[in-house]
Amino acid sequence: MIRSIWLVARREYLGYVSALGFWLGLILTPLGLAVGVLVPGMIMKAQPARYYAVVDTQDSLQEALDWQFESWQSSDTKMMLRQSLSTTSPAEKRRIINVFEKAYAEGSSPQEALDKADAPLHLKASPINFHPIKLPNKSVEEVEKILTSGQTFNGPVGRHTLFAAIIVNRDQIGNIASVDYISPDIVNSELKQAVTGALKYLARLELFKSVGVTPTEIRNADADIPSLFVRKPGSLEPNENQSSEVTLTDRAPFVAATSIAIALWLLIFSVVNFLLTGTIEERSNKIFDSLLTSVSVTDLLSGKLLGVLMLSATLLCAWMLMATWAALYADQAISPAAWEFAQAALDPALILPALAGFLAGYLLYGAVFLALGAMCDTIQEAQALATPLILLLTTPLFIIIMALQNPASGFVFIMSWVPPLTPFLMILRAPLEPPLIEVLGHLALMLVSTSIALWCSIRVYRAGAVNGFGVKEIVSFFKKKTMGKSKL
Amino acid sequence: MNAPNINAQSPLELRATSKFFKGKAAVKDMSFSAPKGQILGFLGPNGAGKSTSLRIALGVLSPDSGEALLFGEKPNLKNLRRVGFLPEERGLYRKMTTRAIISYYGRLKGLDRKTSLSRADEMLQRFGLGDHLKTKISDLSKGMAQKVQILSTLVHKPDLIILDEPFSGLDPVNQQDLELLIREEHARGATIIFSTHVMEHAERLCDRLVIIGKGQKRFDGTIDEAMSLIPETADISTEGNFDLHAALEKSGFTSSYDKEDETGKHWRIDLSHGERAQDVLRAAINAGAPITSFTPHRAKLRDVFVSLVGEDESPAETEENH
Repeated sequence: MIRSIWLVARREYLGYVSALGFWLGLILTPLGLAVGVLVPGMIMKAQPARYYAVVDTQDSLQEALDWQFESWQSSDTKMMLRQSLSTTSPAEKRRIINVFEKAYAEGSSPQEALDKADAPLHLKASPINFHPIKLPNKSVEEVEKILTSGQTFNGPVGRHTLFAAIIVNRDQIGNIASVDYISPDIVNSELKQAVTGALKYLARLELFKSVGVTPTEIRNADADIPSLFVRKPGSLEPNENQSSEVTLTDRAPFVAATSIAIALWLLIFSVVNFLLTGTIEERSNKIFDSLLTSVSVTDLLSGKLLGVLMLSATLLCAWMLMATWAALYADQAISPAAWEFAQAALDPALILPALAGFLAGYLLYGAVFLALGAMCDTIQEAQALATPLILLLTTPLFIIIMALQNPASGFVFIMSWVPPLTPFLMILRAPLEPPLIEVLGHLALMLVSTSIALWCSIRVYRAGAVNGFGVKEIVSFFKKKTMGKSKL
Repeated sequence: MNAPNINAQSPLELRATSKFFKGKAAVKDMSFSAPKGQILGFLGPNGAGKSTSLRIALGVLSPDSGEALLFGEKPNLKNLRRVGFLPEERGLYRKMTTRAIISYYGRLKGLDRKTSLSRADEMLQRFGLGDHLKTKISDLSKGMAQKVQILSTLVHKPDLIILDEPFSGLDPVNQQDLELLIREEHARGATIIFSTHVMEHAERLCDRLVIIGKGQKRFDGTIDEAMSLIPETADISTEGNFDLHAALEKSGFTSSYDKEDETGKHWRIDLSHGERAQDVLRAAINAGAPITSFTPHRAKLRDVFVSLVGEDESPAETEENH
């Protein structure tokens, strides 16, 4: 029996490994993921420098805009600084961030504040992509003409066209009555948001001025705002006189669990397709009769499942090797945060549920797809049948993504007891350290549901393979079966 | 109909098996056995239930009643290892090479890797596929692929070989090769059952026949027994006005006057069971008949088949006749 299962598994495995599609999947999947991860950052980095002009009789809006951009730059830089300090001790991290905040509030630029805070050397203040240029004595019509003509201007970052013009309309006493934002680009909203922020800032400034508070005093008050540090209960170290802040190390398990759940979903649905097409090949090529006089249906199914499981293991190993190679190759480029994440993902408390979830999910969905393949003569027929099923099976992915923000929600808990979702949502709940009864319950549920799926699959497979049954006949068979009128 | 030939030595037996699909009997009360070491022809028109019977015999299908026995036991993976089965609906993994697929089937039947590969090489060389050891099935012609499948069936040297319509799809040369192969396997001592609806193959190869029609057995016996179901006849032509009918009647033969032309009179003699054409000829000569021609007519298996399963289910022409 074991020999037959092994022979079937080996044939399946070698068959798939020798196919071009396998190698394409092996290479393109991580490539796609890498592109998915890197592209947003690359897009951000490749954000072009843009020129804008404020057409105004006074300088107040321009100054407010400068303040707004620098404020954003400061926030982005502080976030980068926090991430770069994720492995630094909490006390040291607090000290560096306090120095940075104080320096900025006292009038230093974000880069100067970084220098004063002894931030890691490679860290640079995030760039400002919008640069003002002067368009003195231009009417609105002339400005619009410049915007549409493609006229270029020499500015701090070379020659560029004008991205937008901000026309400030003032009333007789010099207050801003309205502002026109004119730009050929209606998609990018960053400058629009900056203008809105600047106008709010000006309004507040006017209010403070009316009660005798100067801008310098406001900035000094900002410097005194205490820093916000987040920590878990009970993590205060009394002897250190410092609390330990919630770091990426704390959050990493949740991110890792979500990533593992998504990866398992992707892996399962990548490989169960092999089971579907392989079974259709056997049915359409009339291979079943030859096989079934040499191996039992159960052994044949087990061998197929094992073969594709070995294929999954190969894919996983290859991807992990690629990831390790990439990590070693790009050692300097990998942030400490990524190492935190990797450590969290390799935690046995997460790996064990992940393995159990993968096995159960693979067997459950593998059994469904094997049964589906045994009912179909062509790929087209299988696709027509599988489409509604695949749509249904994408539900776990949506729930995984939704659960990222709140894995402890009651909805996720309830859904984790729906058998097709259990393998994935159980992993998501693992970092919450659920009670033992929940873990055992999930394992029992997966065992029972997978066994039922396999039991049904063997019968459907047999009916499809031996009797050539299609969907109609299978449904009718199960109807009779439930009424006790049929045997197979 | 002959009584069921249940034989303790038989590698395969069906005992009163029936199988119904959608309430219709595909096989009804079927009993027969394949005597050890013989070639059994399993004949019947298309849709007669041949493949269903064979699938029941191998345990691929469960009978609704009755039982199938392989080597005296119900079909199981252990006794199926002694069987080589070529199904009617055949196919192979298209992306596997000829060598790999023969070896795979050999290993599923219990051979070790080394033996299965060496046998695959040997068989492929012997049957003209030596240049295609590493050719994928998808790159072979249909006939060549069928040859590979037949070799896959035989690689483990089975004691019982079941071939369901093995000649269909083969050209005359390959049909001849397959006949040769069947004879070789028979000489090796294997029991062979093959189903066909082409009578010539059965007539040339079989020791015994089972003929079925509409899911039921119509005949079970030797070729001679089958032939004896239809009496022989003989045609005799005589000169002048000689009355052959009267002359033969004295010897117990029944003849009928057929026609007369310028060459003489022509007579048709119907022989009863056990009577031979040469006895009629001897009786006519002894009666002094002026014989100008004598033509014995032996029944053909085709005639037996038609008489058993009905004109509406006539056997196919041989492929050579197409």
